[in-house]
Amino acid sequence: MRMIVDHISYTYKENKKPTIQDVSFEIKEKEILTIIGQTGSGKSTLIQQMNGLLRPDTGTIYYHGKDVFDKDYHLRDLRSKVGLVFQYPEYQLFESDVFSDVCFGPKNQGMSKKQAELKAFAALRMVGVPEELFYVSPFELSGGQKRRVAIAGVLAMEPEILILDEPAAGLDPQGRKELLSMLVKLKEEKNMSIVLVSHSMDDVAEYAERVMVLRDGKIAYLDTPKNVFSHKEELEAMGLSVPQITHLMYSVRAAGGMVDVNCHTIAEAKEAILKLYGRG
Amino acid sequence: MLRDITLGQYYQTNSLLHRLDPRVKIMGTLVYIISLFLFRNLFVYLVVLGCLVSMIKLSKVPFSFMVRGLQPVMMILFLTVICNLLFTKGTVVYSVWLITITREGIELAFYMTVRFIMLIIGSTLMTLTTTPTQLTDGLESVLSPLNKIKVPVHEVAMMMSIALRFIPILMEEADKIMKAQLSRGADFETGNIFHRVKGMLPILVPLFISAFKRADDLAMAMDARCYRGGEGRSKMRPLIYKNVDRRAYMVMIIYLIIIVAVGVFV
Repeated sequence: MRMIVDHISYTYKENKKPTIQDVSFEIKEKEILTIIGQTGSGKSTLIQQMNGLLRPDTGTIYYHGKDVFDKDYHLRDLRSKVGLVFQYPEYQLFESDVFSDVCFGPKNQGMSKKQAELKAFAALRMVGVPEELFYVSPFELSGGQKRRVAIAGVLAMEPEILILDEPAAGLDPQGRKELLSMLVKLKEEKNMSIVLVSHSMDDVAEYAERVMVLRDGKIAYLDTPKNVFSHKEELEAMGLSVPQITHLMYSVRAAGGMVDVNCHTIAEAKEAILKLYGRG
Repeated sequence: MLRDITLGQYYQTNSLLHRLDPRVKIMGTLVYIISLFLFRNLFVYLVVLGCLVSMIKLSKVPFSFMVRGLQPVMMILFLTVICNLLFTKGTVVYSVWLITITREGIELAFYMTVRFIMLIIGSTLMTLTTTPTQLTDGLESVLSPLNKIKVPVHEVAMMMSIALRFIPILMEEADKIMKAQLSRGADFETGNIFHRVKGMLPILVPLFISAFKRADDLAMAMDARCYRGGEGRSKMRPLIYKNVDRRAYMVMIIYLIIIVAVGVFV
């Protein structure tokens, strides 16, 4: 158990209604946890608490058993272990070249220049930025490349938990796929725990081990994708949906094909349809 | 963090002052400021004070909001009072070592303070009862005679309203960037002044870049909608004087007459 979120609630000053209400869960080692929920359900607020940027009104967060909002705990230590990649992270780039921008994080952690550069090099490699781009200005890059550099900037700090707020938003299908498989690789090779806020049910079904569904600041479901997506009606009532392929299976069923509608990935659907023909 | 700062002083309520045409309020504030500086006479100030208090009552804005407008200028006010007290020549009333305080000095400092405080409260009252948009619309209309001498009044007013419109957006953006850099271990609070200024760079650079980008986008969007400046441009909500506004102008004239009368004869 890397992180335990213990009954946190949070209300923004300008609002009356709490944005987060009594939320508890834990983040396990080496897992991909996705958070889904309608706009305004509290996803972004929740992940900012996990990074110590917002302090919950009640409840607390434990990181490796230590209360991170304790007076003796330095939030900077937490932030270097829990990396947070905001939505559209490209706006955080500021250095004159890509490489020094990625060095910013590790340098803040107190590493020597040499160490920081090694980390930056590895991180840029990891996200697939070609070496000839290392010394150009980040503002000359394309949108997708900027995104990679920004993510590398967080990865270079070698976090144990990596939280990403819709990292694939605005990327082309190819870039999207590359990014998501990179996250799987990070989990497998670096033992990272990945927390992914996503609007794509297809991605959730394909990559997540657990799904958290937020509704009005409360956890509506926290389970495997298979179990969560079996609540089709409830999800749709929340303004969410099920993966495309599940919709397809429902159509097949409606057209008279007796398939199991509870399929959420293309592989599962393929099995189910083949089974239908195997019988027929 | 940055989001906690409220901008624009407008206080939402429904009062006579809120309903007035912004042009009336701008002219009224101008008349008020002139009246403050016309005479240096205690009775005039009592009249002005009476008017100010009744205006505040009319506006239904809590008095604490007026005082809030005073806070940022308190330091300047304090310094002017000290300077006036120390460096005005005249009949000495008190003297110790290098410090001499004169009758004229006290008088000057007193009037200075009264004028200053009343000036600030009066103009605060205007911004509290007028939305920024109304204010720029009003200014544009009041200053429109300057068009004759080739002052681009509409353009200036447009720039003002765009600037006002973008302040909250840029604040939010700054907040976002600040948080992103904090998560990357940035430190804005410790170290000496040079260190801190350098620490602001990771916020300022992206903020400027995004401001420029937004400006570009907005210019493009305005172009796409065939914006070509103020000439021949009509308004969705044109400013039209109502009866209340005419009466308010009358009140202003009467006020000015009373002030002059009191100033000259009392």
